[in-house]
Order: sequence, then C-alpha cells, then structure tokens
Amino acid sequence: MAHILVIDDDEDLRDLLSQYLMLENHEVTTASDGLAGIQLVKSEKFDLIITDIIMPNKDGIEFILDLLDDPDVENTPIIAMSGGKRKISSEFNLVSASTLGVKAILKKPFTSHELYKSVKSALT
Amino acid sequence: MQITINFKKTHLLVGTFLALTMAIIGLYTLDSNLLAIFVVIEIYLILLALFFFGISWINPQQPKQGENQLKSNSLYLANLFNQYSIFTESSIDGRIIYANENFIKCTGYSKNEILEMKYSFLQSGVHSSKFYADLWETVLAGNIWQGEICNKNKLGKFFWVYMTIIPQFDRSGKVFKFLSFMHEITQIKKMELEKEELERQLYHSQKLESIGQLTSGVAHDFNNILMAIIGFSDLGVALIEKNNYDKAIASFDKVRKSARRATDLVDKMLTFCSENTVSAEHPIRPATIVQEVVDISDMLRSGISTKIQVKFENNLYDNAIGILIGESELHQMTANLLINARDAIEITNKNNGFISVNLFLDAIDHPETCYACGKTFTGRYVNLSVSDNGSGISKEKIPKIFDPFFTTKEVGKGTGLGLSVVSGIMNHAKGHILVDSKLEEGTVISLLFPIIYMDNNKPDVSLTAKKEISRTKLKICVVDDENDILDLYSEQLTLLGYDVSCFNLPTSAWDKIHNNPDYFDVVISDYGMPEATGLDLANLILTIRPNIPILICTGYSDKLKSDKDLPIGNTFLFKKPVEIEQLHQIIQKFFLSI
Repeated sequence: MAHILVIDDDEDLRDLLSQYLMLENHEVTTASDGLAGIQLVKSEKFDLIITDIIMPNKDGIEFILDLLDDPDVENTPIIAMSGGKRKISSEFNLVSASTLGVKAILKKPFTSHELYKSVKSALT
Repeated sequence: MQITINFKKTHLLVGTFLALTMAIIGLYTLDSNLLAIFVVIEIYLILLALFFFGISWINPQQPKQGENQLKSNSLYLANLFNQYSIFTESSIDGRIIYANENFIKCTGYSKNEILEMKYSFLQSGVHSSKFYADLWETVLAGNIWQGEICNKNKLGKFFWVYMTIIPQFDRSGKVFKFLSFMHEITQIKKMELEKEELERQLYHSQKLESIGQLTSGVAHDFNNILMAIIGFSDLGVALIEKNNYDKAIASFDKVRKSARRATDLVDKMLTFCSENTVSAEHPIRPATIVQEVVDISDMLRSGISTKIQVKFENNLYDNAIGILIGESELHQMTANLLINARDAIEITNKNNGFISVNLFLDAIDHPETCYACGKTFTGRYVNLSVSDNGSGISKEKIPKIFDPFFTTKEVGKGTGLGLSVVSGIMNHAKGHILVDSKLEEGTVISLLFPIIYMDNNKPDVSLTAKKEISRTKLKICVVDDENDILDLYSEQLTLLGYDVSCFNLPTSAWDKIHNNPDYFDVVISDYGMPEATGLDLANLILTIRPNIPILICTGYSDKLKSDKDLPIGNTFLFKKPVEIEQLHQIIQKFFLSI
C-alpha cells in the first residue's frame, strides 16, 4: 500500500484514478493543478506522484521542475499522463526520460491494466 | 414651348372677346341716337378684332410646331419606355389588366394568357410568404413599394426584376389599381449569386483552416472523455464482480455523463463545420449569443497554452434584443479572433498572457469609422470584443489587416484569410469593426452588431409529459442496421413497458407493416441504412398508415437537418445519440394528446 498523489484538472479523471488505485488498496490524495500539487507535496509525504501535463496555472512540466528543486522530494517517483498534443508529450518524453526521472508516461486514454503495471514498476 | 401656347391662347381670347363686345354694342346701337359715334367705335373695334384674329392666323404655325414636337416627343418617350421598361397595370386583387410587350416577352405567356392572370401566378418560390404579405400591406396602404423580386416565366425559368409599384387612388382616396414599372436584373442577380457562392466557399475554406487549429484541442478533450468512458465502465464491471453495486451504479452514471460530454463536443464541432448561410434569417438572443461564444471558447481552450488566461465576461442581459447572425458564423468569427489573440501572445513569449472576451451593449455617441467598410457610424450596438496583451499591430499595418491574404504570421501559421472573412461576415450582418492596438501592449478587436428589438413574451416550449399513459401495451417497430443498437432499444423499451419488434433492414420492417398495417402503434427508425433510408421507409408507411407516429433518428445528414425536411404526418426527428427517455417522452405525449 502506498500514498499516491494524483494531479489532473479533469475532475472525472481524478475520481477515476482514485477509485482504480483505491481498489488496489492505495491511499490517494488529489489536486486539480500543479500549483495545488506543489502545496500538497510540501505538507505531506507521497510514495508516488501521478501528474497530468496540460493543466492551467502550473502545468505538469513546471510542477516536475519545481519538485526537482526540492531536495526532500526529488526522489519521489513520478508517472506523467498526457492526452493529445503530441508535440508536448514527445518533447516531454525526451527531456523527462533522461533528466527528470519520470518513471513512466501514460498516454490517455489508458486502461486500468496499464495504470497498475506502471504504478507497480514505479513503486519497486 | 410653354410661352408659345400662352401667346396663342391670349390672341384667341382677346379676339373673341372684342368681336362679341362689338356685336353686342352694334345691336344695341340700332336703337340709339348716337349712331355715328358707335359706328366709328364699331369700325375701330372690328379693326382691332381683325388685327388680333390676324395675329392668331399669322402665328398658328409656331404653336402647332410645338404641339407636334410635343406629340412626337411623347411618342418617342413612350417608344423608349416600351422598349426598355417593363410595365403593367393591375387591379386591387392582383389581376393584370394591362401589360406592355416587354412584360409579355419576359413571362413567355401570350397577351391573352397574361390579361386577367393574377400576379401571384408568377411567384417563383424564392421569397417567403412574409415577403409578399409585406409587399401587399405596403401597396394596399397606398404606399409605393420598391424592391427586387424573382418571378417564374411560362417555361419555369426564374427572372429577376427591380420593381416599383405605384398605387392609384379613386376620387374617394381609395386605392383601386396599381401601376408597376420593372427593370430586368436577372443577369446582375446571377452575378451577385455567383459572388455570394464564391464568398461562401472562401468562408468555408477559411473555416477548414481554423478547424486545423482546433483539432489538437478537441483531440485532447476527446481523449480525456474516452479515458473516463473506458475507465468507468471497466471500474463498474470490477465493482459488480466485488458485489459493490452502489459504487458500480455511480461508475456507470459517470460513463453516461462522459458520453454526454462527448455528444456536446461533437455537436459543437458540427455547428462549427456546418456551412455558413451568409445571411441569417432569424435573430439570436443574448442567451444564445453567450452560449455560442462560450461553446467556441471552450472548444478552443485546450488549443490555447495553459499559460494564457482566457476570461469571458457577459454584460448582455436584455432578452428583448437580438442580433442577426448565423450561429456558425458567430463561431467562425470568435474562433478567428481567439486564435489571432493567442498567436499574438505566443510570439511575445509572455508568461502572463491574457485574453478577454467581452459581450455588452455599446452606445457609440461620437462618430467612429469602421475598419472593415470604412463608413462612419454612431448608435447602439451589441459589442463582442476580444482583447489580448500580445504583440500588438503597428499603425501602418492596421489598415491592411482585413485584406485577404495579409498576414504577419510565419509560413504555415495562417493564410491571412481569418480577418478578411470576419470583415466579410460583418458586412453581410451590416455590422462594424473597431480596432485598437498598440505595439508591445496588445490589441482589442470589437465586432459591433446592429440591434434587433424583439417581442419578449415568447414562452418556452417544454416537452415534459407528466402523466403516464394507461393503455394496453403499445407495439413498437424498431428499425436499425446496427444490431447493438437494436438490442439496446429492445431492452430499454421493453423495460419501459412497450411491446418491441426489431428489424435490421428497412425492407423487412416494410414487409411486416405492409402485410399487417394496423399491427404497430409506433415506428422508430434509423435514417442511414442500406437499401433505403429511414425517410424512404417513413414515406412508404405513411401511404398506408397516414397517422402513425414515426420517430427518425439521424447522426448527421445534409438531407435531414430539421423537422422541416420530414414528410407531413406525425413524424419526429431525433439527433443521435438518442436517449431512450426522449423517445419515451414523445410517445407518451403523442398518445396522451389523442
């Protein structure tokens, strides 16, 4: 069982991912954008962060860059999700895989099976 | 010419007067003692009369020349008039009582056919009944009517005329007939229509360009929705396996909610993609304007970087006003302005990008000059403005931004048609455009629509049927070529208490109905099917069951867009995806009302 932070601006998807993860007995906290995510990271400890990329206020990339500046959380594994906008996800892919330490990238729409697989590998 | 006529008349009058005086005096003097004096006066008068008569005789050539000239001039004019103009006289009930040769030529009918023919016989069907009602109201009230009108000749061909109808009054001041003067403008009209068609095509191709701009945003939204649909149905199944039914129901509710979101999105896309009408027939009210602007902003939202804040502010609440613009055109214009604002901010690499869309009632008190049509104007308008804090436009470039193909964007980022299309649409809508821009500071583009005042008391039509009908089980015939959809209809309608028969081909449904016409109470049919469309099937069924309710469900078809395209009868149109509840309500309402 792990404590997981889910960040997505789409309420339905936050709900869906929470339910998926809770079915696997994880504890889930959600945030609606990168800004809210950063505040939560500062006050709580998470074993894994799953974040969307395209979000208002602070997007996923800015959020991850902020995380890397914080020595307390820089080692927390991250899974990034993206729906569409190939340009961003491919750029992100390149940068993230090598430098940002993102464990996996999930392209929306993805199944529960794919999610569980990524979560499992990110947590080990 | 005028002087000659007066001169001649004076001569005659004076001559006659003097001759008469002379005669009277002459008769009188027979009994008088002053004979000698009167004889002298008489001789004098005779001489005077002769003198004046003489002038009248000497001069008759001059006035006669004028008369002839006048006669030949009016003949000449009448000839010209007959040659170049089209003229009729018609009675108060629209019967033609006189027509010149040109009119006869135009219509292709013979003189005998034309006379006593009613004007309405020439109606082309191009104009609405309101158009003719307005025309009649104008002329029967004794006012002159002028305008373009399209008629149909004997061969069924259209001919356009510019017509002036002048009512004629009898002594009591009542209108008793009409004189109509016409000029044929078929060729001009043809060119105008061709130009309109070209413009329409241009608008459409520009729209395709903006659809390209939209796709990435729409794809993003769609993937989110698909994710929710796939995810929640998976989750629902998993929850059922764990016997957690309450949560499973909640999950499936989310599936339905997401599918509705997808429906909305497709609807918006289709409204955007539908061809522009160039001129709208009905004004749209503030609620619709707001909805359309919000729709397009929502659709574009994910195509605009999250770093740019987009704000929509509505200050238009007066429901008694409207603007004359098509929804699709409003979409296209708003999309163009938003895309331009986004691009203007993106090239500055600003982190605090800001786009503001404002809708409000605007009073232009000091004359302003329209950037699109160049005319000066004042008055009250509905103002739709899009402001940004982007790169701004330099003073020299502002006058050029509405020119077709003018663009400041790099290759591949825009064709330069966006604003020229906006200006074209605004010209059609008789509206104006104002531009306020400062380099490095930003741009405000305002679209000003003329206000149309409307009746505020139109009630909203609600379709809810409250009472359930207590009848024997209604028999429903369902026709759809997709078996999954047939299964769905069958199960849901049976749950609602109907007796359902399903057919996956229109021909097999027709066989059943043909053999037993009174068996079914209701028909629900898909539109696009192999062998025949739902409309073909409906037309066939109506020949033997003219009153049966037929519900036709369609995805997107050019031929079937609204109830107007349906055959007469109890036919109803539903846009796919259809929710069974909607069909149920219509069926209930129908059987409750009979």
